[in-house]
Amino acid sequence: MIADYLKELEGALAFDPALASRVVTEARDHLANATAEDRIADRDEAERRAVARFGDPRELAAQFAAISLARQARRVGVVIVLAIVTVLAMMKARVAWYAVVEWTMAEDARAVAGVVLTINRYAFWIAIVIGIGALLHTARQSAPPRVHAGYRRHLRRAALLFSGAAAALAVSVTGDLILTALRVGTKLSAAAVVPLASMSVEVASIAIVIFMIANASRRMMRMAPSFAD
Amino acid sequence: MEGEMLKGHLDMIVLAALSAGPAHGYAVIEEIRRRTGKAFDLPEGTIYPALHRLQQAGLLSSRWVTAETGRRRRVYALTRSGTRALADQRAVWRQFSDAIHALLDGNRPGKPA
Repeated sequence: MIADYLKELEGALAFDPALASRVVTEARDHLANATAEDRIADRDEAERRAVARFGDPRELAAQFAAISLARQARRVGVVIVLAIVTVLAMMKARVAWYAVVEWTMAEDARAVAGVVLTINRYAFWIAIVIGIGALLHTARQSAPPRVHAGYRRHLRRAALLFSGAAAALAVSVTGDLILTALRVGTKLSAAAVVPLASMSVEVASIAIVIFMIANASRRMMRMAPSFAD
Repeated sequence: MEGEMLKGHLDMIVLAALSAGPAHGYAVIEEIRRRTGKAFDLPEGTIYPALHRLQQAGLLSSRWVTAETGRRRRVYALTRSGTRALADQRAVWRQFSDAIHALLDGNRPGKPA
């Protein structure tokens, strides 16, 4: 009886496997305690009563959905801000390296580089502003007992802010790629290792952000059946 | 007591139960039953979303322990923020409760006894 119930509970929480594992472990301990403390002689009946008192797995999953979504949203917000800081650090490292090795831009590439640099700067600042806004937005509201209509709106706004910050950061990283390509060109040397490595880190950062946003959206879709108030 | 009425105050109830000391979910339920004379009748599983939510809000901390039976269980404890939140909620509740008592008993100032 308890094993079947825990399986059902785990299935209802499939939208968040880590949460499901934790909740099932807690529920297993709870139900074992409740069964042990029931004075009825029939153990099957004791298990049945313990399970009945614990409640409907789908109802519990609906309550956990809000907690899972809030955690996911905060995690994405933190990752976006970390990605922005990483991209900034890589930009600064590259600029410092160019100064050390006295690597200047070719004369014929300077006009294009100027335009790209302007777009890059604006995109980066937009990413900072929207990214911090997204983080504050997600921190502002704690998880409600259930995913009600107001919380759904809150999450939609968060998703919009995450996407905006990620898009601006992607533009900035693309600008960095163009600027690095203009500077390094086709002459790959030992000195090019630092710019290429720093660009790899930037591309990996934005890829992680996009992956997390896509993953969060997919999870939100999977949780839709549990959303009903 | 009505389930819906309880749900609105579940966070405060859980915080109050944990003010006695760290406890796992089942012990929290037992503490609530003991202190209220079994007046509250909620599905027991409802306590777990509340515990997770309060931990997410920074009002509770938790850690895994292994019970004598060998089963793993999560033990929850109030954080400093949780203790402060409970004190705040207790004050608000007392004020609200006094006002409702006064209203129901007809003890408003100026009203003849």
